[in-house]
Amino acid sequence: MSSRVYSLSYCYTMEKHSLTSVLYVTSEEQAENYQWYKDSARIDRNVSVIALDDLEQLRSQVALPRNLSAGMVLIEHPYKENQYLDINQAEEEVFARKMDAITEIARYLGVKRFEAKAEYETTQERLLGVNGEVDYKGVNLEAKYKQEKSEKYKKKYTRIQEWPGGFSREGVEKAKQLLKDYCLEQERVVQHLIAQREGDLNQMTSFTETLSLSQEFNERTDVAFTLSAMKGVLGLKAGIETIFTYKVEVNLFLKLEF
Amino acid sequence: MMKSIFSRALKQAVGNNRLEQSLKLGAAVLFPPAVLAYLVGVTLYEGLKVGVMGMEQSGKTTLLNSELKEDQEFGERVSFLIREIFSVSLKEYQEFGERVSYPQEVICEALKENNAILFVFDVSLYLTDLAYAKKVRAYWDLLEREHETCGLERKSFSFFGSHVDLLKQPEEAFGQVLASLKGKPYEKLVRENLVCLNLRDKEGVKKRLQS
Repeated sequence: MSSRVYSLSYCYTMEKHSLTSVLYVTSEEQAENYQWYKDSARIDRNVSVIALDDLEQLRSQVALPRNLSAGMVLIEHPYKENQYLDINQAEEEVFARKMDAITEIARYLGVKRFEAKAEYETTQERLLGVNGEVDYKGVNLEAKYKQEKSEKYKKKYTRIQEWPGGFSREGVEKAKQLLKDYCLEQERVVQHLIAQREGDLNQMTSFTETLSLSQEFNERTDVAFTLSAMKGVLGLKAGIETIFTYKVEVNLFLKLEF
Repeated sequence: MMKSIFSRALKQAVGNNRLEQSLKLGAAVLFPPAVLAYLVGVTLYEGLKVGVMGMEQSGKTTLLNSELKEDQEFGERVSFLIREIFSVSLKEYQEFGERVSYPQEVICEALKENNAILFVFDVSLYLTDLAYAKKVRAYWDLLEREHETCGLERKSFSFFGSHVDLLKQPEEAFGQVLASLKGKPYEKLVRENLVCLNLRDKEGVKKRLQS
């Protein structure tokens, strides 16, 4: 099981800024000389090693964390255009925004009862190949840690909401627009849900599905992980390395009633 | 420490009245032993290997092709003392379609093979062209990082700012370069080994070497 992420799924139609999906913030000198090392060829082309001062100058074009410092890894927000997240806080933000987006779409589709629950699936260790390809190796977590992880995600990402419901053509159109706005057009389950709802004109009474909550975050951390090809030269912080070394798969179990 | 090495080199050359003789030879002779010793920062000795590297058009080739050999006395002495001069055009790797070797590899090799490293840059460009200055600092950063990793022992470094004569206020070049290094990891390395010299100003050079 291996993959190399060559392009990420973007839905932005506006002209994008020139920044890549992953940024490594560093000194002016290192932003220039990192590419003079052979191992720089193993870093994914969706990563930019950028000088702190140069990035600060882009604040008017992109939303960046308030305090930037050398050594930070930023990933582009998968659901918000022109926004970058500190990788240390990115998982929480990305998971929460995906849940919010799905909740909102469900409401416009006339859902009466919305139930979503995160389910921890697996943890895999990322391995970097000689040519920069990313491989995965299963990690056997002790039952105790597995339980802890499972509890953590369930507690954080469980949601039950109820509305009056009711189908309307405008509601479906709004849901379709939200799918675009949140850059979720690649999300097969949500796409399917909208298509079903649009086609059956309020005949559906319930919908149960599982979708990946972590896919977009993992796509970006796959890219960021290739920075480890130069971890010594770049001086990657241990905490950051841990974040992108382990790929955690989390699903979202959805149960909708109309 | 570096100053005492300079002094030894200079006393050796100046004491023998050789600097005086070589400076009289005209513009073609830009690098008599004393000047070379001053630039390199070490006493010249038999078997000394000097790695000359630096920016494009900074004067590396002029340095390497200096016509010392026209002066039999110095020509013999210098070729005897400096057995190998290793020149690196640091930008070459980018100019060919395929990167054959990366600058880090080239620099690492140079650090292993040579006793002293002379980095040449155009100080007039450094102080007027931001992109050029950024690139020079990136190389200094790399040298600072690599000299402990690749060098088998601590090397003698010299950072030679050429083309001082193109500046309106050449006497301020040294201080301006130093000011741009504040807080940088390589500040100490460059500050202690920086030379900004107009090699065409023979009187000025003579004064510098004797001071």
